[in-house]
Amino acid sequence: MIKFIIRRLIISLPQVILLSILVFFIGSLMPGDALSGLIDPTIPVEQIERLREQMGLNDPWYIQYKDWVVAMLQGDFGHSFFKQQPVLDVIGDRMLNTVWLGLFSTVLIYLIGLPLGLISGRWNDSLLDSAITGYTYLGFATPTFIFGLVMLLVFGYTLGWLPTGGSVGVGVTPGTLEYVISKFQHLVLPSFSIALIGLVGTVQYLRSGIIETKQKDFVTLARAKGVSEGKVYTKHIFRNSILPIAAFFGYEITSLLGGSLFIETIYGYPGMGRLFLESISIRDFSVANVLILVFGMLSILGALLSDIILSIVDPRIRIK
Amino acid sequence: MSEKDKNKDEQYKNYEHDDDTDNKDHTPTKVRDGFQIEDEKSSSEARELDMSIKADLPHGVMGQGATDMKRLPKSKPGWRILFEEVISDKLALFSLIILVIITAYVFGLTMFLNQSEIVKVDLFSINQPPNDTFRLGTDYGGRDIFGQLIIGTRNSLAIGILVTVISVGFGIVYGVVSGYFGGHIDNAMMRVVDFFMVLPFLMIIVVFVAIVPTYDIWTFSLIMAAFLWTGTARLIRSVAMQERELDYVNASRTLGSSHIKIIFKQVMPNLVGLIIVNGTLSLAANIGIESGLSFIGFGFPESTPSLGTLMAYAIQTQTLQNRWWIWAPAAILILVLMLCVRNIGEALRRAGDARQRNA
Amino acid sequence: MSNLLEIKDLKVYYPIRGGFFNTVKDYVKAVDGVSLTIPDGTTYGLVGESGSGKTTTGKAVIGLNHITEGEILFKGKAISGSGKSVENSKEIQMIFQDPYSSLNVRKRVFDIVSEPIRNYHKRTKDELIAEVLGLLQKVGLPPGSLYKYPHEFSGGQRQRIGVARAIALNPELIIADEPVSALDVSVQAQVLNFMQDIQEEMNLTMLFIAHDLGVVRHMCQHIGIMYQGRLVEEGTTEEIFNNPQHLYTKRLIAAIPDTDVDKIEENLEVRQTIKEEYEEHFHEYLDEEGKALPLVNISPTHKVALPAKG
Repeated sequence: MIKFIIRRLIISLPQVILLSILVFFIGSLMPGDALSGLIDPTIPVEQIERLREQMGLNDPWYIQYKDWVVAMLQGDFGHSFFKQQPVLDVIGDRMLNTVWLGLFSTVLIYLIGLPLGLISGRWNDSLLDSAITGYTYLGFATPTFIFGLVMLLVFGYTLGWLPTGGSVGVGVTPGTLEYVISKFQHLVLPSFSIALIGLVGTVQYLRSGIIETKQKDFVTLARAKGVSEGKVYTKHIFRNSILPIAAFFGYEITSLLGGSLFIETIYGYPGMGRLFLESISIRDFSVANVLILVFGMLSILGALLSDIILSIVDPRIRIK
Repeated sequence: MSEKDKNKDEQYKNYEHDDDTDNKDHTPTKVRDGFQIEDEKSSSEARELDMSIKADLPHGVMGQGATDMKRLPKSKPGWRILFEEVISDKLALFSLIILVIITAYVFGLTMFLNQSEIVKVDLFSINQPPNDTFRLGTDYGGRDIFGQLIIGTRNSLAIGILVTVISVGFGIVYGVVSGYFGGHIDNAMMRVVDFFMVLPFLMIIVVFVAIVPTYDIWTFSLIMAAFLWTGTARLIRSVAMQERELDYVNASRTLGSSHIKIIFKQVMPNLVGLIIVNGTLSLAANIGIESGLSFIGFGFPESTPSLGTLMAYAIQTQTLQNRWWIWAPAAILILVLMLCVRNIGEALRRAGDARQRNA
Repeated sequence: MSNLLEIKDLKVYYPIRGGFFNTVKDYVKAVDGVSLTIPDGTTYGLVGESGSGKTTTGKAVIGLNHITEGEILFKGKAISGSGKSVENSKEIQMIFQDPYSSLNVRKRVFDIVSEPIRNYHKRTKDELIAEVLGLLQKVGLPPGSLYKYPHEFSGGQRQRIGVARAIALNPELIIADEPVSALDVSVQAQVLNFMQDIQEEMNLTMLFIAHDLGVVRHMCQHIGIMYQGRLVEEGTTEEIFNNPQHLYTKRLIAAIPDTDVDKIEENLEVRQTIKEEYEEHFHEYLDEEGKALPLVNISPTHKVALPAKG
């Protein structure tokens, strides 16, 4: 087990390195460098050139790459051209918001998705199952951003039940109960928009898993032994069908991050996804670059997590 | 028994007749196989086997076959069976008809529409609701929504198809090579796929769109396809690995066929069904991704309308709330397109599965 | 009469990888020192249970498997044995065990049978059709099969298609890898007879791989019995059947079903005694690794892996 995890970590390491190289090159393709945000346009050209030399901007790429990585390891992620402050400070709050949004959406996905899948699989071909299957069918074909817009229009504007933008009400003091409630209210619409579309895969996978497991011999045996129908499901079928879904948990992170780009834009939610698009729009590339790195690292982490869960759930995978 | 079956049977009768009259003497008697129809076979299969019993009657001299070369019975190719399955699926047939109508309408009408005329700002007709001049109203620049919708659908479909062709095409070749050769080659190739799968591809596409100075439909498609081939590659690779273990691949090798020939002429035809299914489902996904990118402003610019650029107007609260005619038709079209394409894809997959069960 | 095929001390090992760095821990010795010769125009029967290495030997000859050690001489010339490329495919051909997976389901009979011809000769479409029809006729399939797909045929017919494909290039050596074991018993004899006819007609040399002795009895002039990657007994068909020396051979022979109703009791007794003897003494016939002992000549053509005092 530990051997597998270590070996899996060793596979992730080159991914991290490759990702950083890629981000580095994307960064060098982007207009502007570390100097452009810092200097005063009145400084003469020779002096800029000296500064460039001093900062190592004329070195070959691998030395620059090394310097860049070393700086990051020391906590220096560069400087925002636009906001005139360290990138880390710019990202800080936004990251927390996205983490909250991701957490809420994940909880919702499993909280709603698992029961739907279980019901649909246990009483398959019933009226309820048809309704759930119909929903997943539509959900598969609906892009998150369209669904998010409709949710915003219906619950935000037309019915006016929930706030339509931002992550917290204006003028609410941090630390109060009111603040917490306001934060929560601002999370409801975005996270439901992500979750209600994001859960269709889980539902469908769980449903077919249960229907498949139902016909396995060990289930027939349990029934033959006189185990009650309820117990057959809770003890035998559900357990066997839910385990593979647990393994998708990590990959869920990757798709949530992708979805946050759209949802944060629609709801004006100040998270990393929106920050990224803003940074690109105002050509604040040093921030955008670090965000790609963060998202990439989170995806690598998610894939790692999934594989580790899978290896716990399914011992066969470890042999590979 | 259907008309076709009857025809087939008649053809067989012809053969029997020929064989009996001309070639009795040449028949090597001991090569008769005794065929047994197995009980568990389905009735349709049993019928086919039944026909092959007649077909296996020994026959005679060489040359006799050559004379009726032209009349030899031919079997239906696989894609036709697949197509017929889709046609017999009501929902899929309905989807196919709608899709064909939309595509034909959109591509046909765009030939008469003047794109530069439509995207020209007209300050005298800003934000008009649907009326006689503008069937679906206008946007904040006074541009005709209906025209944008037609051109936008065409652009979205075109780019969806283009991206699918490029990404699926590349994914197929990559996957089949990886799966066929296996071993270290496969290992190395799959590590690359793993890497691509953890990349935040939407963000990278956005960056490319932002920094590539001039991009058109081709560069945009290439950028998108560069990140969307991995799913196909993984799928095709896993199936190619199974195929490789089958003896027909070994047989081809012993018959002197090169690896390239085996991959493209022997293994590939067995993947055609899967490729069609995967391609259709990818098309649906790609239309969604394109409209999403345009929606956040990093797909097509406003001057090149797509379904996504029309949706992008809805980011403005005013438009979302009060000017439904700008974005709702586009949203509905996206849904309809994706549903139709998915329906066809799913029907194809069911057909493929069913065929596998029967084979 | 010269030997078309000579196998000298053939070894085929597969590495077992494991441990932290996926290093080679051990080997599976699929074939572990097999030597045999097949004279021109004869059939050699290679018999053994599944996993004994008989198919691996056959595939090594045609080049589908790598050779770890030893030599395979075809017409006196060594085969490279990298396992990466198939050599001599014009002269050596193979008939596969499974008539279902060995025919590509997406190809018509015409495409399947003409594949080797297209690989080696330039032919017009009409020439190709005539040639394929000739081959179909040779294996007893009607011309109407030409444009059909494999799933429209029964197992026996499919194996005929496989044979047609194998003889398309006029090979000299055919490796028949359990060609009838996947077929219905009622069809087996017919396919065997017809293969024998073709062999005589085309003067083929054959390496016939099988898992039961009954099948090879009438096909082969020489028989080799394999156990765990090694030969335990080798000789002419008469020697093997009339004078089996190795306990393993004796047991295989006893396992052949006898149709004589009067002898049922007697056969059962014989089988029982051999079984007891086998369980009691078989370990004496093996070395410490559980492998067969070296072969010893007991007549010019008959070799057995007998224990020293046996």
